[in-house]
Amino acid sequence: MAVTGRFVLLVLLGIVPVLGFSIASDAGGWALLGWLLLVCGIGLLDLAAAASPRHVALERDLPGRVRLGETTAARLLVTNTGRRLLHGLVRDAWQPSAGSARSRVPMTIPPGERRAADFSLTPLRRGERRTEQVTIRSLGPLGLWARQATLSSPAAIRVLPPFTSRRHLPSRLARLRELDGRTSVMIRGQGTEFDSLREYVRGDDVRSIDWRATARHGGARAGQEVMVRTWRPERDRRVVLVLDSGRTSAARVADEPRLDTAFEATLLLAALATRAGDRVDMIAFDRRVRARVQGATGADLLSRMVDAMAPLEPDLIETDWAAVPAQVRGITSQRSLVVLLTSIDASGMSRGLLSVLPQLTRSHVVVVASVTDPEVLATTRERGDRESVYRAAAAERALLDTGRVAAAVRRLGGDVVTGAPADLPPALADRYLALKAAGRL
Amino acid sequence: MSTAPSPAPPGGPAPADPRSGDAPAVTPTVRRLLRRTRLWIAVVAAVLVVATVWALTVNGSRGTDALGADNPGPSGGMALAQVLSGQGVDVITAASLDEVRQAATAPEQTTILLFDSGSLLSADRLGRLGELADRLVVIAPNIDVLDAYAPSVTFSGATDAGAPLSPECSLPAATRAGAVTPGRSTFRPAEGGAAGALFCYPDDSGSFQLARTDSGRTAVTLLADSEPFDNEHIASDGNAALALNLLGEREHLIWYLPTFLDLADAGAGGQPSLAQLTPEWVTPVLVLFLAVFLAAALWRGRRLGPLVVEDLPVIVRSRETMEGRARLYQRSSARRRALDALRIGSIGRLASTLGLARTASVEDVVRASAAATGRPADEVRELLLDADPGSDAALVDLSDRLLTLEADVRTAVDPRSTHPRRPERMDS
Repeated sequence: MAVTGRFVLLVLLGIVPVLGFSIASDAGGWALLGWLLLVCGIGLLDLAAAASPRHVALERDLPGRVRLGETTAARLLVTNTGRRLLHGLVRDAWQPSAGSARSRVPMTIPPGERRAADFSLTPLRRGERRTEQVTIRSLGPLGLWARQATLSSPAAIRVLPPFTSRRHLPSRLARLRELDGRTSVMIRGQGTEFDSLREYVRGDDVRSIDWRATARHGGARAGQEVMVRTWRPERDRRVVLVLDSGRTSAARVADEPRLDTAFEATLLLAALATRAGDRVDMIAFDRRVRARVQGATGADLLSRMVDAMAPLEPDLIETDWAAVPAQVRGITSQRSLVVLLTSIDASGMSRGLLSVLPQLTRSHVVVVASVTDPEVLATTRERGDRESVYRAAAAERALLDTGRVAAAVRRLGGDVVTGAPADLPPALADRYLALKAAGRL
Repeated sequence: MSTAPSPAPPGGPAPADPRSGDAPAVTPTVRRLLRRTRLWIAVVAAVLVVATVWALTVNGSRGTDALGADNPGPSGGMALAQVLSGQGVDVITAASLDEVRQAATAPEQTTILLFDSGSLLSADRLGRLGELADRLVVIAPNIDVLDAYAPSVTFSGATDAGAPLSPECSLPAATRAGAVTPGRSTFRPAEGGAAGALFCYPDDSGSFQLARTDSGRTAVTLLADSEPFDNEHIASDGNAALALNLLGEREHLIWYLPTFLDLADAGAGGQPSLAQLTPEWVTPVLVLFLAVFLAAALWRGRRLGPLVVEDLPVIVRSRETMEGRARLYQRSSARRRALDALRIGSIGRLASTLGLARTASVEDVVRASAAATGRPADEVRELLLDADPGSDAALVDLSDRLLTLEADVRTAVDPRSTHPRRPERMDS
């Protein structure tokens, strides 16, 4: 049950009879009582004539998935299965972070008909955004009193990571294509593969001339047609991405959790590597596997990865690094590129990582990617007063710690990529390209 | 609550006319709400019934006034009133002079008991009270009563007599009753006017417990204290007999304990009260506004469905550990430690600016910096190694000098400057 502003005005209108009877015949009290009974009676009649908010069928037309930062239309279809005209308000109870532009919609639905209510959603956070209930307030024909009921109608949309770093993808793909067809002078390495033979052009390394092929081609007669071998980057290598979803990944750098930056870097690297013909697998791990994508290729890979990442939140527990080598072994025993997306802020927190790194570097190429806070570097230069000097000292100390851990990682055979949240994804992609160009995979 | 939209409605009291495809309602229907809460409704109803019955029967309208006819407590007067009505006296309680006037239909058949513990009656009202009955018994009178009815009586001091006092006067009611327990207040004859009154129950100091006088056709009996006649003491000595003799003389007894009603209404001819001055329409309009307020509260306060709950993520700023360490340095005045951190940072930057190897020692950096800037090596060593800040001011000063040194070295090795050294650019 609910009343409307119109009913309040109607009650207030009682001042006319109350004053009139008071002045005319000293019967103001009776006039008041009569008026209140009258308006309540009209209200009850109105309530009795209102359509039932329970005789309603609900359907939803939802996109299912939406990228963070994009707006999508969530349509609610309301069918009036009762016998009366349903006139009133409909509220779809989306969670606040689903970013519903308006929560209530006025609707008029004749009996047996269906109407749509459009709610545009701009989610504010990644993950599953839900609605459980729809509340319908059905006004009486006079619009004084209303019947109200909450109907259960659960639904959810999955909000995917934004993948803003995909703007770096075209330039990296171009660089990847440049790697194709180069001669050995530029990229000679143990891992590069023979691609094809072509005629010598000026500038090619004479060492890559294939004399046997030249002879077979009959170039000796022509005198000029010397064949050279060309090389292409190796293909079908394995890339294993390990995301640390433990407590250090909850820290926010530039108002973005480390984990979300790791998602961006992971998605860019995965998009690049799958185009380069490598096989990409991903796990998110703290003390157990929180998300896993294995054996997917091409467009399917990215869609499965964002799907797996969407509901992932950092857990406030210490990551169990000792279990990571076994997880990597479980994915592949082949030599592969293992990318650990974690933080290397302090030696105490990175001890677990450093202790298992030798096991990984023995059989794999390991890259440790970590987000650094650009503000820390800025803080070291602010030395106006006593407080800022102490803060600068603490910042220098933090940088020193990071540098020490990075040095330790390098000493153990790993590679380190650090960068601010905006810079880490392209930096990691560049490191991948460099490794590929050097044929180290 | 079943959430699956099943074609058949859940059994029991679901909607009166369920249709297939209807979304299941979370809000209970009125009928189901009643059914669910019927236990509580029954409990509340039972409590109300029991409380009402108990209030009406067991407790009655139990009063709490001192010497009240309906007060069964130690200081009440219920014992006396009950015995009097048992003796055939018609005991009528009154709370205001108007009630007394209505009850006193036959003055010659009426006794009025007046006990005005709050001194609520004005002299004017006291005078009018005397006309309503020909027997007036005043317990614990105040000075107004004495002025109005017994000018020949005045107050004496408090007595400490403990033993019962005998009447020693000719009042029949007193002589028949015998000795009574003395109260604390006493009377004595007024200066020069003792003739008008009869005094009983004297103590050793010449003070009396009872005075009898006539005012017009009314016989006024004054009892100095109420204590001997309350429930606790009425059974002692001859207290009960004296009270019965005095109050049971006539057929009707008006038990009059003045209340605030005697103050409120000035009566006919007095000043008009606020209620009389207010126009008749004010109260109904105020009540109407209250109703409007309630309706508006219902209008604005009724939620459109239940609140939606959502788990929010934790927010941890990555700089927290750094800030915490800075505050720890500051609080413990760890100046040398702070300065060392700054020096290590500076030395690293200097080394990379000067193009020194990663393995270069601090001495190498000192020498190279001194050579690049033209400063004495000792001064640079003092800054980078030896200086120990004794105060925060010295720390700030040293930190500024470190920055200056870094800037100088950068300028010195800048390829755009004319300096011969030209180190290759290094990224840390």
